[in-house]
This record gives sequence, C-alpha cells and structure tokens, in this order.
Amino acid sequence: MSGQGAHLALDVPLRVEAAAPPVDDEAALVERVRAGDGAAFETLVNRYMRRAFSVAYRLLGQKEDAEDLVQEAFMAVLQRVDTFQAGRPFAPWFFRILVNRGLNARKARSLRAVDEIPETAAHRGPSPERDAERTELRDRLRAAMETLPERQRTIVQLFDLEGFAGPEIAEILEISDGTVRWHLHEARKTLKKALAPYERST
Amino acid sequence: MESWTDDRDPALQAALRDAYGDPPEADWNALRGAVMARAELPLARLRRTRRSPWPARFRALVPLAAAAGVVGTAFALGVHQPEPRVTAADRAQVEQILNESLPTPSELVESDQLLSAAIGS
Repeated sequence: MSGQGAHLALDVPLRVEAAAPPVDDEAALVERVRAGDGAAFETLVNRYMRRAFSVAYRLLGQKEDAEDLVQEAFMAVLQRVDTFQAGRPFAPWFFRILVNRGLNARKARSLRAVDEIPETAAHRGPSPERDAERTELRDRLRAAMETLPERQRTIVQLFDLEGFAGPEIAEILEISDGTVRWHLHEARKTLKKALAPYERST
Repeated sequence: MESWTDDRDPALQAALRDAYGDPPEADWNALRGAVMARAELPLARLRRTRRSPWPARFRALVPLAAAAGVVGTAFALGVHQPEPRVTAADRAQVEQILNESLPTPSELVESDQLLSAAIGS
C-alpha cells in the first residue's frame, strides 16, 4: 500500500506517536476497579485520558464535546466493568466504548468531523504562495474526508491521525483485520485522488 | 496474523495531520477532577456490591426466595403431617360410643311429639 510511485511533497512534520501505555498491571488495576478502588480507577484515567481526548476530538471536532465524551466513556467503564473479560487488554475495550459512543454522538448531532482549522495548523509556511497552496490542500483533503463512508473516515482518523495499529482498530471496531485493511485502502484511494493535483513525481 | 501495521503512508499521514492539526490542550486537572467526581457514586456501588455475598443481579431475588421458602415450609408441614395412629380397638370403642349416644326410632318419635306439644301445633 505504501509503495506508490509518487508521493505528496509536503514539508510538514510527521508527529511521532507516544509509545503505547504499559499494560502489564492493567489486569490488576481493572480487578481493583471492580472492587470499587478509586485509586486504581484514577490510575487508568491518568493513563488514558489524553489519548481518549485526542480520539474524541478527532471524532467530534470540538473540545467541549470531546471532554464530555471522555467523561462518558470512563463512566461507562465503571458501569460495565463486570463485563470486562479478565486477561484481555484494557485499551481496546476502553477505546471501543469511546469510539462507539463518539460515533453515536456524531450521528445524533449530525456533526462533521472537524469544523474549524486549528490556528496552529492554519498559519505556517515559508511563503504566501506556499501558504495558499497548503490551505487549498487542507480544504481539499478535509472535503475528501467528508465524502468517505463513516467507517472509512473513522479508520483513517484512528490509523493515520491517532496512530492506532490495524489490529487495534479491528478490535476497537469489532471487525476483522482484513476489513480494516480494505477500508483503509479504499479511503486512501479516495484521498489520494483528491490530492492528485498536489502530487509530484519522484 | 499478517503484519501490516507499519504499512503507513507517511506523506498522506502528514497531509492529514497538517489539515487537521493537533487536538487542543485540555485542562487535564479539570477533566480528571470531573471524571473522578462523577465516578464517586459508581465506585461506591461497586464497593457495596463487592461486600455483599450475593452478586447484584441475584440480590433482588433474595426477598422472593425468602417468601418462597416460608410458603414451601408451611406447605411441607401441612402436607406431610403424620396421620394419628388408630388401632382397631380404638375404632370399635368410638363406634360403640356413637351407637349408644344415637336415639332409637321410638325416642325420635317421642321427642317429635314433645316438640309439637311444646310449640302448640
């Protein structure tokens, strides 16, 4: 999938994802949460709050909505902690709750993924011409994202924006690894088509 | 499982991140505080559930089970009450007493006449 003959010539930095949080003690933490241990729950909150907010923001596009979604997801953890299967990793289970609720909220509010270009991304560039080109590219890319089926858009957001691995996304969305890969492939085709005018042959 | 998780497209990824930017910074302390405040009640429920010897879904059945136990005990005692032992001699004695206490036909006629006289018919 990554072996295309042309690539996008963009001088934007690629954000490096932080390493996945440790999971070795999470079974014990969840077991303590099951017993109502507030300190154990707070440890999980501290561990996942930031990434949860980031995913929630990708899904809902607004800070306040993202904060609400994070709270709802953690409350759902407490409500459903008895259904959590011991021995399984906590993160996919938690993010499944978060993403499902986020998608439901997005449907309910008929929100588009992102309504505003953040200031940090909107005004930077070496020249006015380059700035204009990049602004146009951003608009085109965002418009192309909006045309994607919801599942494809979610997978792109989780994979390319949030740095989740394919199998993690499969577990979060409760679909097969192959289905994730197919959706990603289809989404990339659509996005690359939208960005074709900006591609430069190598 | 086929490994494809590193099969990323850095250019597209960079373009997407440039288009969408990084999420804004949240007030993490406030967010943590809000989550923990809302968690107090559910955590208390979990503690209470853990202390109880019965799982939550069974606790509602306890009064019903107690009531069923009471009814069952009463039923069992009523149904399985041992019959009193009656010997043949006892039966004969009871029969004799009953026979002796019953009025003879002539006594019945007499009592009827007395009753008629008493009420004046």
